[in-house]
Amino acid sequence: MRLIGAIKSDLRFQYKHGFYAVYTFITVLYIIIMHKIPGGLIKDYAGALIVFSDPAMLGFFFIGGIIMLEKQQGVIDYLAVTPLSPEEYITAKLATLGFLSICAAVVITLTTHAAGVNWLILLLAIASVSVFFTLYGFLVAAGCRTINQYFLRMIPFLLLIILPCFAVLEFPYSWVFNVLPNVAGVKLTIGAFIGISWQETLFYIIVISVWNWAIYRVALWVHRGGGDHR
Amino acid sequence: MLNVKNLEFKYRGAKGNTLKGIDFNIHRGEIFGFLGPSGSGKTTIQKVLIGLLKGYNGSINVFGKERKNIGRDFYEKIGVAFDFPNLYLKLTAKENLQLIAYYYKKPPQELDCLLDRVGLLPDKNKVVEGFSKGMKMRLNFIRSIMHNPTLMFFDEPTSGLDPVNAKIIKDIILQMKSEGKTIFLTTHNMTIAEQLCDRVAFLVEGQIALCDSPYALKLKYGRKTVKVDYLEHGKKGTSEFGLDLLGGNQRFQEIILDREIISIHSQDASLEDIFIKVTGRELL
Repeated sequence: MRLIGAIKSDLRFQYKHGFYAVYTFITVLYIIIMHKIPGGLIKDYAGALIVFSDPAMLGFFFIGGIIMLEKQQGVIDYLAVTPLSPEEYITAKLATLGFLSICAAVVITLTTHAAGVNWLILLLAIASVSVFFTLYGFLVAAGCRTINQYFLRMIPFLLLIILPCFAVLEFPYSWVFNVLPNVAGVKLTIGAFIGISWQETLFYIIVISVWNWAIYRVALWVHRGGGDHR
Repeated sequence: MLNVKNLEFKYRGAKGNTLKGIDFNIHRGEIFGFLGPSGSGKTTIQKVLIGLLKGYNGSINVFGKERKNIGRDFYEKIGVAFDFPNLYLKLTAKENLQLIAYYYKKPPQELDCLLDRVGLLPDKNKVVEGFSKGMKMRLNFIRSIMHNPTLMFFDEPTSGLDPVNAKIIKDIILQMKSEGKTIFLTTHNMTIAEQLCDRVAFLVEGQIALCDSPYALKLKYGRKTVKVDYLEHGKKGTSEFGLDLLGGNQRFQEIILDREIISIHSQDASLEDIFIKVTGRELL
């Protein structure tokens, strides 16, 4: 099956380029930091924010690196003349980076929060947010030709996605931001640590799913060359 | 196998068409060469044919269907080698082949045999990053044929190769032709085209200026003469004779019988000469 092949191929590519080594180091660093933070609500919030801002968002950073490496090596051009479809190409990247996000989030949470975490909600949050951020990073990287160009372009897009997350501080009309996938994601992740109603959980999962579907369609369109070349 | 009618293509933002009404057909088991200088549209036509550039006008009928109506299965039947090696640099030669092989329904040909054929077997477990351009080009080439395609597109397949390795690649191409495979080759190397192609098309500014077999072109555009270099009283002499009634030419017979012959050459035109004559442009 081609998708399995694409996943194997991506895993090997990411391993050989040191993505997993880098992320293992970062995960260990987070665990050390988390152990320095005193227990209670502060630790719950810190855990949620670390898990959201890094493992869940790693797809945004890594996909750019992966796409730029594939572009520089010309591999992306060659894949276009194999039977691998754009859907399979993107899905393999979502699966591998999503898997890495989940592994990192589980390891950080397990080693710092032994109890009191709603694992089902945490896994749903990390998986769905990882899909969104990976596709978001994919779109940012799509038009770039060099790594430097990607890093420059990444900054405004990163701010655009981080700033609305301050809606968790609950200011007037901050509820409007709940329909954004990043805000829904951060609230869901915090909810996994400190508790959340099933209605809110369902609402946030629907919000992220709708965004994921829409951004997936856009990513496919962009990957196919934005339609017609004429 | 491949019929192209009135093919036109324009890049987004370009003033005019890059391909301007191209017609040709390629038969099963044929090696068809597209020749032209840089910027003539050779790579564009290859990209349009393999589906990397969409939105063409005209018709491309391949495997009995219009190109734009064929899905991803098209790539199960074709092999493509670009003129630059696009490989996973951090992976080994064999891993590069294995990863791409995952994407095809058909199992690949024996990879070690292929690697051996192009002299890369001793390097199969080495990371491609350290390969020379020639090694990368050879790996690039066998990757395009490992799934046993029936139609192949090669862009400058011997670029960056030394004569020994270029011959290995040419021999593989000729062997594939003898197996009934069809090959579309784009190059600006006239010698390669002469050695491999059954027919060639000269592409200039997006149009086909001439299309025929190299042999027919050389006959048509060559001088029908023979040039003889010889030694006469210790000095070198040169004479040129018309081929018509050459056997009855007394001066020719005299030289052949009484002089020490250094060389005799018929004055065929090279493909490069013909290209310059027909298009008024040089191949760069």
